[in-house]
Amino acid sequence: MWGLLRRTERSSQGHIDAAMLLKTEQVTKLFGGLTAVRGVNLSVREGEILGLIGPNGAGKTTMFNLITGFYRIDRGRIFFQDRDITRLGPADRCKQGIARTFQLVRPFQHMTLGENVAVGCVYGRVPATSRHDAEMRARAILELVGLADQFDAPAHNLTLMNRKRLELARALATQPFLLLLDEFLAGLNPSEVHVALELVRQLRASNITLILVEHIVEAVFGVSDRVIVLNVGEKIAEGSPAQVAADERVIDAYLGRGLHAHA
Amino acid sequence: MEQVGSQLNQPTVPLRAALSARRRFSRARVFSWIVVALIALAMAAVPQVTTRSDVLNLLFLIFLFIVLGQSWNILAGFAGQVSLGHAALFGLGALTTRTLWFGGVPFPLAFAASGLVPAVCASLIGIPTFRLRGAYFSIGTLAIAEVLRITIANTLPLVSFLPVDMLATYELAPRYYLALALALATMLATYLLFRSRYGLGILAIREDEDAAQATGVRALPHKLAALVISSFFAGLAGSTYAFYQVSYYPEAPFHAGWTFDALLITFVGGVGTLIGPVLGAIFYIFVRERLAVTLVSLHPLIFGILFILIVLIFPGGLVDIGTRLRRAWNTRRASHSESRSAGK
Repeated sequence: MWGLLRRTERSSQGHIDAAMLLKTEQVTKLFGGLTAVRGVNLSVREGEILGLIGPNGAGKTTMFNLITGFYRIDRGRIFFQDRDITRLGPADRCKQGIARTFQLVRPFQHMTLGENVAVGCVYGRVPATSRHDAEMRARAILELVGLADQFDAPAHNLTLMNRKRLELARALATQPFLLLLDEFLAGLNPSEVHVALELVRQLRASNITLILVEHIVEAVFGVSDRVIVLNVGEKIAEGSPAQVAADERVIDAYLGRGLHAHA
Repeated sequence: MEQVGSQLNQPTVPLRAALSARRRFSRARVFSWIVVALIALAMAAVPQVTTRSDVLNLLFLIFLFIVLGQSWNILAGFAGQVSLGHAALFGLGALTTRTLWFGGVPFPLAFAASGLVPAVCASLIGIPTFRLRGAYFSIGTLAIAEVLRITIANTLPLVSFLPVDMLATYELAPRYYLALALALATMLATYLLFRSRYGLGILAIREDEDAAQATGVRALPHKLAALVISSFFAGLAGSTYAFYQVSYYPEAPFHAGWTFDALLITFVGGVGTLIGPVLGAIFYIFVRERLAVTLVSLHPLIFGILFILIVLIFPGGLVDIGTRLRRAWNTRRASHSESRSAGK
């Protein structure tokens, strides 16, 4: 079922560096006198799951908003599939194949679930050819996340877990190459976290490239191929979950000795 | 990707359920089209049956206020941009018609220009104004409209112009038909817009501008589209008013009262719904004319109380009555068929 979302065209594009999907070069963002993100270099390869962690105020969400175009970049450049997207707005980046979810889920409240997802089908990377086409595709995607039976239900009375599912469905409807999940697990109870992680693993199985911002470090380490640690706007470590967990600077800045001892 | 696309196009719900749902839906649609056509025919027949000017005037006003309300509803109800400058668009339409028509241009041309002038002005003003969000947008549009009204009041003579020839040959029926046709056209345009793919994007912008942008909807073009369509019909309504009224103070159609009439009608009927402004306009005109006759100066007070009551009892407007009846009917039918199948 999830194979529906698997993409095949990308590998046939024949880039010099076909494996590189997203690259940021010396990205900097200032808020007044505060440097929220300072000179961050980050790259994501196709099919990879990248975890982005760090303490509060480390610049994770800022980084997210820079990649998705919600913030303007003060210095540095961003490349997506070797194209410079530094000056593109969020809608145009979505059409290029970058989708996101919001930390506090934001469904289109007064629209049905079907309409919510159909928006993504119409305005995404592969625009639907008609409203009917969009609705058919929306139904298939709602099926993937397990909400097909609520196609005609309004979005405002869903449980948090189902709103997260809807948020994911709407992002998937744009047929992204790269999906950024902002605190996808936040606010869920342990059994829901389990379900949500299963959804993330299914995304991985369908070969979608993911960037995760998460507070639950164990969860990130469990699913990520590679982890980048931010602290006060700068990258302090990068590597496999095991490497990062053993990094002295990460332990000092974020993880603390306790978790290290467990790990 | 072609392969993926075609797979995603496949209906994955049980086919029979999907098909029967579609059939039921389209039968309901055919039925409502027939009802709409019958109402339109009946309205078109009225001037043939009666020449009572009170009846024709009342219906004319209902049609005019349907257009006024629906044009505001397109921008505020569907696109979520609560403009308080609607009177400026209505006024510009009226002013364009007045200038051109009195200047010797045939009315149909003046009428068309009266839709275009406000649409062009609004799109020019809209680009900076749409940088404002929420209440700031509302205040900004109100300010622009008031500036325009005061300017018109100061620059154009206060004495209303009396075009003697036009008043001598005045006929009500053409005004009536113009307003009827315009009301039908506005309804059809709104219906088509919000059944289209583009309408989906406009609704998404209303719901959450950031989330819409994250889903690929460019905010400004969609807001501008809603504004231009809204302005076009508001301008045509203004033109119809000028054609109907002929002699009036140039400032009158710029008065903020037109904005609040549109707002009131839409809220009473049901904001963000297709049929809401129709119900609202019928209700508003009937109540206003009735109260104006019996209570004269007290009528705005009574109307204010009525408005508050309706909004309290039916937060979604008068369309809520229909929704509630349908829901009650559906539950009754469901329980009915349940007990029948239990009886088997």
